[in-house]
Amino acid sequence: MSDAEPIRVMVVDDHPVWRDGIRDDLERSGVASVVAEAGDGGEAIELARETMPDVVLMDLRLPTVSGVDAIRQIVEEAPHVRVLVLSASGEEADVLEAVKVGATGYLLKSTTSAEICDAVVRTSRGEPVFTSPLAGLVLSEFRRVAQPTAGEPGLTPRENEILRLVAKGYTYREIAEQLFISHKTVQNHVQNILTKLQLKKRYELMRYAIQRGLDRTPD
Amino acid sequence: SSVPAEEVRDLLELAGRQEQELRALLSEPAETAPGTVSLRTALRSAAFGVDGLDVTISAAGGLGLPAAQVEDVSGAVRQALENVRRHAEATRATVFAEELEGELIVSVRDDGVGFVYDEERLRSQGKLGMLGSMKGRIEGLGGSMRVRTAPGRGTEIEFRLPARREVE
Repeated sequence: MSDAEPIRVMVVDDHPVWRDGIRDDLERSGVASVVAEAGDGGEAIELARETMPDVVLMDLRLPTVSGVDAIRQIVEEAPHVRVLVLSASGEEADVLEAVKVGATGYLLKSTTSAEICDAVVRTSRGEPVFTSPLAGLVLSEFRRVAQPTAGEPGLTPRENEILRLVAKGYTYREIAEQLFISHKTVQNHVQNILTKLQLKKRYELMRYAIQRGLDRTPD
Repeated sequence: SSVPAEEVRDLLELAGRQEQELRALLSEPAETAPGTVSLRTALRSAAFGVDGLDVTISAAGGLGLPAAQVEDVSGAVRQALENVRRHAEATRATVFAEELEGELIVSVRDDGVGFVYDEERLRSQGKLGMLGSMKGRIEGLGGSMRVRTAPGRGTEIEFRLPARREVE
């Protein structure tokens, strides 16, 4: 597969005008082509199955099936598909859920089109696109649980340090310089953090299920 | 006479952003304990009115604290952002807040020009200005302030304060 092949993108948003704008931006950039457009979560799941895009650009607020549920389904059926969530500010809890079920990254909708295109390219390579507010949220998520289940992942001191720096607004490049490590190493750490977050989600579900089991009265 | 198209677009964009910000303030979940106020919400309001600067708020949690402390911290952050707006030639600033082991840590980071921070020299030259008054204010509250900066590398100002949990 040559590098020159445009990235195959599916755009999911319930505003047709917005989808048009994004499609124009992506195609004008020359690095991506839009292979499918969906207006709701159900359509997104179907079209992802049919067209097998490289990257899915998704708004979380969708009719029929929610963005989070659609992501869960799409990633389950095709784990290689990368999902980049586009969100208006104030929906951070949903964004965290999306990352927990397998989204690769998230960007604010108010980002410039150049940054969105750059984020699509980075997402296609599996690089986590991580904003400061999301990093802050992930930090508090890992600190929230006082008594983690045995084996449940926690952050290493290095990962905690890097997450804090991302939350403070430093770019990966700046973090690499500060910590005297390579840019790639920073990316790997961030990727590990996101993987741990997804694992953590499964532990939460397990704990919830166990609690339910214990609470169930015998027939 | 008609408004140039570019100006209209800018206005719509600003209105759109303001609407998003307002919505964010309104839909803030009630996650803070009774008698406390969310520092994160207060920081968002502080960030809201800074002209010509793109400010991001990033917080490790809603950070419910006594109202008086939230006011102190928001005031210091407003001063820091004003400093950025005036001197840093920055396009972006990030305000980060967390509570760790009884300490409230707040930082304001900008991607501007940075400077050589020689506190003693600046003070003796009478050029410490806003940074000096911020430092004095934070120290008066029992906290500390640290500046990390270098020419071409942007600036980070970090405040640390004991987190006051008791409600008067």
